[in-house]
Amino acid sequence: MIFKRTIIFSVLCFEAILFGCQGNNTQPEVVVYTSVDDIFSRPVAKRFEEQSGIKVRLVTDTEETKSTGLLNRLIAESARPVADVFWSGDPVRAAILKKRGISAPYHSPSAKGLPEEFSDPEGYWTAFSTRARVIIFNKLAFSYRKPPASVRDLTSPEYKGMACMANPLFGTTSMHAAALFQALGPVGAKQFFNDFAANGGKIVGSNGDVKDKVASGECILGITDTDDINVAMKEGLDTGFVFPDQDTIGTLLVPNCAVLIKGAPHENEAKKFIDYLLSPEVEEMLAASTAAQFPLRDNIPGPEQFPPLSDIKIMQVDYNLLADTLQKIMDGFLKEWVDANS
Amino acid sequence: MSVSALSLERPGWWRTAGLSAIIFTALLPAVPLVAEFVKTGGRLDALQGFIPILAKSLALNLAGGTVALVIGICLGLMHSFYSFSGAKIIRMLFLTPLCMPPLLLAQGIRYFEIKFLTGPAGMVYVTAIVTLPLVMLATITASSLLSSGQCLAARLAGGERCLLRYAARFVFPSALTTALMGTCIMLSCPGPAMALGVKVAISEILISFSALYDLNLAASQCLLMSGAALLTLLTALAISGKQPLQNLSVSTGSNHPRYHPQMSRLAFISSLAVLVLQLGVPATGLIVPAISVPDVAEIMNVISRTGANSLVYATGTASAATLSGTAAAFFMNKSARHRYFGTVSMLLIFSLPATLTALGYSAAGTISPPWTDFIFRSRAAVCLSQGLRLFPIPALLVLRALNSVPSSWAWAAEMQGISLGRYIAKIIIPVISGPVMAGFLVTALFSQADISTLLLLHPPGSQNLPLAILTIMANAPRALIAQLDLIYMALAIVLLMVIGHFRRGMNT
Repeated sequence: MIFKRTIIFSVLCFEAILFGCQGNNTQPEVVVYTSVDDIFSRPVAKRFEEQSGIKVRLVTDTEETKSTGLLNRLIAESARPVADVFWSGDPVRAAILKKRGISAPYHSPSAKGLPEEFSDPEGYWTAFSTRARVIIFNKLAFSYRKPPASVRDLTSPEYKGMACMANPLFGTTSMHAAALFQALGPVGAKQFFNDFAANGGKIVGSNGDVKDKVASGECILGITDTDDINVAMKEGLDTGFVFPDQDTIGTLLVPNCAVLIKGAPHENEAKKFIDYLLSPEVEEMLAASTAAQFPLRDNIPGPEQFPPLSDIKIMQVDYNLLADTLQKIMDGFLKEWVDANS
Repeated sequence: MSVSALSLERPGWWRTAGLSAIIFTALLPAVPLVAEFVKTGGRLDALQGFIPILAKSLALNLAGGTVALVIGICLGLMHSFYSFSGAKIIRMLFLTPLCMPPLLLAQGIRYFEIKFLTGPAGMVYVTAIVTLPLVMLATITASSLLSSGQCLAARLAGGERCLLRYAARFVFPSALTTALMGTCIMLSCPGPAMALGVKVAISEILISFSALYDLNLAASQCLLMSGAALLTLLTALAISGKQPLQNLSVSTGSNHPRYHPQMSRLAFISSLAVLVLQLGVPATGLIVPAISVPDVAEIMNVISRTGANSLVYATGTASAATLSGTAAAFFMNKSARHRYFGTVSMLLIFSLPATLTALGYSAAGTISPPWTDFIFRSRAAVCLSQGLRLFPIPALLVLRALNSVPSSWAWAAEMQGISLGRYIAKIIIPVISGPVMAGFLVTALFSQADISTLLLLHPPGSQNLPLAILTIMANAPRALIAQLDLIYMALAIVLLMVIGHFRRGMNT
C-alpha cells in the first residue's frame, strides 16, 4: 500500500515538475527586467498584455531591498541576454548599460512629445514619467517651526541626530549623491556628507524606512522620493514634504527610462513594449497610480497631490556624466563614507 | 543471473564512487567562483575591510546560537522525558520558523516596534528563534539514545534534577553542533539584516554584487564567509567528537516521556512561554498592521501569480533532494567510514551559503551554450541548486531508517534466493517510504525559506510567494505585506501538521 502510494506520489511530482518547467512557446513574449517597484510596473505590463496579446515576463527588482542586482544580472548575461527590455527606474543605470555596450539604440515613434533633455541623444535610452527627490518631515515636530528648504538643512545643528537618508550606495539615493557631486562639486558634496554624519544623521535601509522613521518621530526629517511621500499620504501618516533647493540648485528629477537590450531574443516584441511604455497612456497610468509620477509631457495632467512639474525648479544634471560620477564615488568616497558611518 | 540482496550489506568501490559523485555534483557550482578567486589572488586588499564585518556577523549569530542552545537543550529534555497534552502539536509549531523565510520573521519583529528588538538585538533574536527548533530536535534525538535503565538509574540516584543534569551533559555535543550549524546557516541569510537595518557580512556581499557590480569581489567575500562557516562547524565537530554524527546517522531508540505532576506542568508552561517568544512576537507584529479590510483582489492576484511556481519549486527541489539524498544514504549505509565521511560532508554542504552555488549557476549559465539553458536558466536551475544543497535532510532520514534494517534480513533473503529487486521492493521500500515522504515534505518547505537562490536564479516571470513578498515590500501598503506574511505563516503551519501526520517518517 505504502509502496503504491509512493509510486503514485512520485509520478504526480514528476508530472508537476515536467509541466512546470515547460514554457508555453506558442504565445509571443517579451522579457522585461525592471528596477521599478513591482506594484507600479506590473499593472503596466498587464495592460500591455491585454492590448497586444504579447506575454510579458517581468523580473522586478527593488533597490530598497538591495535584492537581485538586476543591473549586474544584465551585465552577467550580456554574452547571451535573456532580457529584451530594461525598464529602469532612473537614467543612471541606463547610462551604465550604454557604457558597457549592453544596450542598443532605438528611437521609438511613441517618444513624440517627450522632452529630449532627459533622454540619450543617441537613443540608447528614452526617459518618461519621473519621480522627484524631496525632503520629508514630521508635521508634529515642525508645527512650530519653518520646514527645511534645502537638503543642506539636514546638516543644521538644529536637527542634530534627527535627520536620516537611505543608504547612498543604492537606488535613487545613490543617484542623488552623484547629482550633488555634480551640482555642488566634489568639495561641496563631500562637505555635505561629512557634515551630515558629524551632525548625527542616520543611514537607514531604504527610502521606505526614511518615511517610516520620520512618521514615527524617530527622525524628524529625511530625504526620500515622491512615491514614498504618496504612500505616506495614503497611509494617513502625519508627514509633510518640501521640494528642496528651489532658490539654489533645484530639485533632482529621477525619470524612468526604457532601454532596448543588444541582442534581445525578442527584438520586435521588445520594441512594441518600449513603444507602449513611452506612450501617453503609460504616463497617465503612472501619474494616477500609487507611484504618483510626474508625466514628462506637459499636456498630461500630473498627480493631484503634487504641484505641476512646471512650477518646480529642476536641478540641471547631465545623466551621461552622472553614471561616471556614480561609479567613481561608489568605489571611493561614498563606500568609505558608508563604511565609516553605518 | 540476479544480483544478491546481500550486495546492499557489503562494502565496495561503488559506495565511494557514488557518494563522491553526489558530493562533487553538489559542490560543482562553486568551482567557477573558486577559479575566479584564485585567478585574481582573492582581492586581499579589498577583503581587509570585510573581515571585521564578518567577525561582527559571526559574533551576532553566535550570540543567537548560544541563546538557542540554552533554551533548546532545556526544552528538548522536557519534551523527551515528560508527557503533557498537546506536546506533539507544540513540537510541530516550534518547527514553523524553519519553514519560513527569516525575512518574514524579522519583518514581524520590526512591525512589533519595540526599540530594543531593532538592530543587532533583533538579529540575535531572529537567529535564536530559527536555531532553537534545530537544537531542540537534536536534543530529543540524542536523548533517545539513553536507555530506560539509564534514565531510571539517574532518577533513583537523585530524582528528576539528576536525570536532567546527566541528560544535558549527554546531549550537549549534539546540541552544540546543531546550534553552530544554525549559526552558519543564518550567517548567509540576508533577510533579517535587510528588515532590521543591520550591516552584516551578507549585506556587504549584496553591496558588492548589487551596488558595486563587482562579481569578483562578491565571490571573494562569499568564499571567505563560506570559509568562516566551515571553520566554525569543523571546530564544533572537533570539540564534540563523533557522537553528534553518530546520533545523526544511526537509528536511535525512541523516547518514552512519562507524566510527572510538576515537571509535566513545567514543560507545558515553559513550552508555551517560549512559543510566545518564538512565534507570538513576530505573529503579533504582523497581525496588528494586518487588521484592516484586506485587499482580496491584490492578495489573490499575488497568490495566483506565484502559487503554481511555488509548487513547482517546492516539488522540484524536494524531488532533486530526495533522489540524491536517498542514493547517498544507500552509499553510506553499512559502512562506518562512509557514514562518517558522508555525514561530515553533508553537514558542510548544508551550512554553505546558498549564494555560493547560486552565483556559480549564474556564472555557468552565462558561459554555457544555449542548449544548456534548461539546466542553468530555467526553473530546473533553482530546483537543482536548492535540491543539491538540501539533500542532507532526506539522506539522514533515509540513512537512519536503513540502519534499522538488520543484516539478518538480507541473509535470509539470500538463503531464500530472493533477488535484489524483490528485496528492495518488499523490504527496503516499505521501511524507507515514510522517511522519504517526510524528507520530501521537509525539503519542500525548507526550499521556500531560501530566498537568495530564487533572487539570483529564477527565470523571468517565475516568482514564488516569498520572493513576491520581498519584491513588493518596499512600496506596497504595510497591511498587504502583513496579510501575505500571515498567509504564508498559516500555510507553513498547515503543511507542518501534514508532515506530522507522517509520523513514521518523523519518528525515525
